[in-house]
Amino acid sequence: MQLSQLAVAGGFGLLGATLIVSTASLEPVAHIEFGPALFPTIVGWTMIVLAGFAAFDAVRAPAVEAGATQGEPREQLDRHRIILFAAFAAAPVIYVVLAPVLGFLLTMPLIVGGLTFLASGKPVRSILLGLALTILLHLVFYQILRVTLPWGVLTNYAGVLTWR
Amino acid sequence: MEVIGQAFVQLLSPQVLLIMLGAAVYGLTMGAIPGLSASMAVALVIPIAFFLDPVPALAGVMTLAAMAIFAGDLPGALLRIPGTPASAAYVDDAYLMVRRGQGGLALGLCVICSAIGGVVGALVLIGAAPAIARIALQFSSYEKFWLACLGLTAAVAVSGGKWYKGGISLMLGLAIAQVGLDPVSGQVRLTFGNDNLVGGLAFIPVLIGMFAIPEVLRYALSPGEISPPPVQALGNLLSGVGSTLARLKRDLVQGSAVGVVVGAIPGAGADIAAYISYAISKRFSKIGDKYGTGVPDALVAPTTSNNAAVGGALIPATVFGIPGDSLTAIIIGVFFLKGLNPGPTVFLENALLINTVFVAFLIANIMMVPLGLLATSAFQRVIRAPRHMLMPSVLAFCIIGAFAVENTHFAIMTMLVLGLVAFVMEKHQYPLAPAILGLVLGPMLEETFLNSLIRARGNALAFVERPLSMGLATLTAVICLAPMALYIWRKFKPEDVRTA
Repeated sequence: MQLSQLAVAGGFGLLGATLIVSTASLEPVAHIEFGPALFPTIVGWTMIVLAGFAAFDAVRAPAVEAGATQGEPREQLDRHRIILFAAFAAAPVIYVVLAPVLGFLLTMPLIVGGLTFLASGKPVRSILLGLALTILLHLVFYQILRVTLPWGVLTNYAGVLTWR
Repeated sequence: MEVIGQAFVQLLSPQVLLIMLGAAVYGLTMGAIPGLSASMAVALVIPIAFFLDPVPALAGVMTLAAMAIFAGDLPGALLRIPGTPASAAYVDDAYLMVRRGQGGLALGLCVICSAIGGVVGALVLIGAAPAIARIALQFSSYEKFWLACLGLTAAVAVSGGKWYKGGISLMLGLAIAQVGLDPVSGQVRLTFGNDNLVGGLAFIPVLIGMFAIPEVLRYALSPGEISPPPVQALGNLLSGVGSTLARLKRDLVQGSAVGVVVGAIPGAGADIAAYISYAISKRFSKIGDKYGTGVPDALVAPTTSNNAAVGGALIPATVFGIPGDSLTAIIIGVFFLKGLNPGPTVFLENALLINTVFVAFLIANIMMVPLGLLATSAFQRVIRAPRHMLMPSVLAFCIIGAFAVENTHFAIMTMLVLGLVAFVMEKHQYPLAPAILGLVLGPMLEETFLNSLIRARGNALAFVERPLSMGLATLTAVICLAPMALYIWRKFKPEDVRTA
């Protein structure tokens, strides 16, 4: 039995059930016989059936690591990789939390520099990349494309830090 | 013809040409870096295209797509790592030629054959798409429904791996497409009380999440750097190319034809076109066992084919709104963003803009020759960009790209969640392309399905009453049921049959 395959199949089955249950109460509007629940219900049931096939295969299959082929040594996850994975996965959340407070110009170097440092262990290169990329993104998205990036604590200096 | 002339004029403005040049450099860079696919390159640039006028935005995206597919050949030849999946079929042959000191010829062939394939694809697109669109104008909602079904089932069938995993991926795409307002009655559904979801899940964050984030996360789990061979002098890239192509002109024709035809099959795309073309070329090769040992014969057909496939894939994409592969699905997304709604009527209502897109694709493929030749030598260093600097930069682009279009942090979270889902799916061999096709085709599929049902007053037989809809339905059923029947037969066939 492949537990991780089974869990993923179960997750998709659950998603199918969610589609059906959460749209079941939607009523057709007047003069339209087929309501907004019809299509999600079809998709939901199809997903459940297909997830059943996936689960059936996962139960019958020999227990090997997902993605590993026969004869291929299984790569061990060390602490560094787990930290790096967690840092990359958490970076968007950190941006969402910090950007409104610190602003784009302070948050982005922290994220890019921090991730580069975690990956390479080279502080100078990480700081330089963080600063250079932030300036580039700021120029392209804020100055040229006029995207309203957050200023955070730098709001009072917004006029000084723009070149128009 | 008049409209084609006007399209040329539209493209000859300095702003458009500059953007096409920038897109070409960006496409060559992204395609050349191992692990960054053409789809990801287009997905990351959509936030910038969003802020441009339609002509420069669409011309830029077409240029980028053409260049990125070609550029995938560069790391394949120099590092034995295909830059994009479309270059995987002939990576060993190109690499062996480089190792043998024939790097100039290998890369010269890649540039010229890619350009020829791309130009053929573009010319077929310009000629065939309007003609097919005239026929498609006769289609009712029943035919449109079956056509969408056919596209989606074909996408699942050719996605590789287990058919039910492709099916689940497709259903996920359709489920994502249903979030927000119901297309017929306008009722809100699947928002779970979150106002950010009323307008549906934003297309760009979903695309960025599904194509870029898994790559970044995969790097985080195995952060080892690629050790490249030393930079070598490639010599004159055009030396020997002419005589080789004269000898292999049948492969050139075969690659172009296979590329256009396979590219036009929904779900197939450039990588499958290259594999099929490679197999045909090998089957009919005159060099026998030497084929596949690093000879030019193994390069010409597949590298022509993968670029011709981009033009082929754009035929169903523009005429029916059915993308041929994930790259075309993303390009269709950009079309919608810029108010160019694919379908047969686009050739009547927006003839100039759609023809401008086609001509831009043609020019991009011609531009590939000088730019590709220039880039090939220079990019020996670009492909060595350390991944520990590249991946944090890609993530930064993802964050700002998702935010820029929606101007909300919710888009960043959407990108992250879908990225994690895509990462888990890829880890468990679920293909992503059907999900993207489902996401793009979902609204059309639901709308045509419900409208057809309403027209037929619930009579399901109306879906197969017209001969064309009956034909499309049969074809869809065969593609859909064949792998399922095969699966059940394999699982439950008697033991004596299995061992015989």
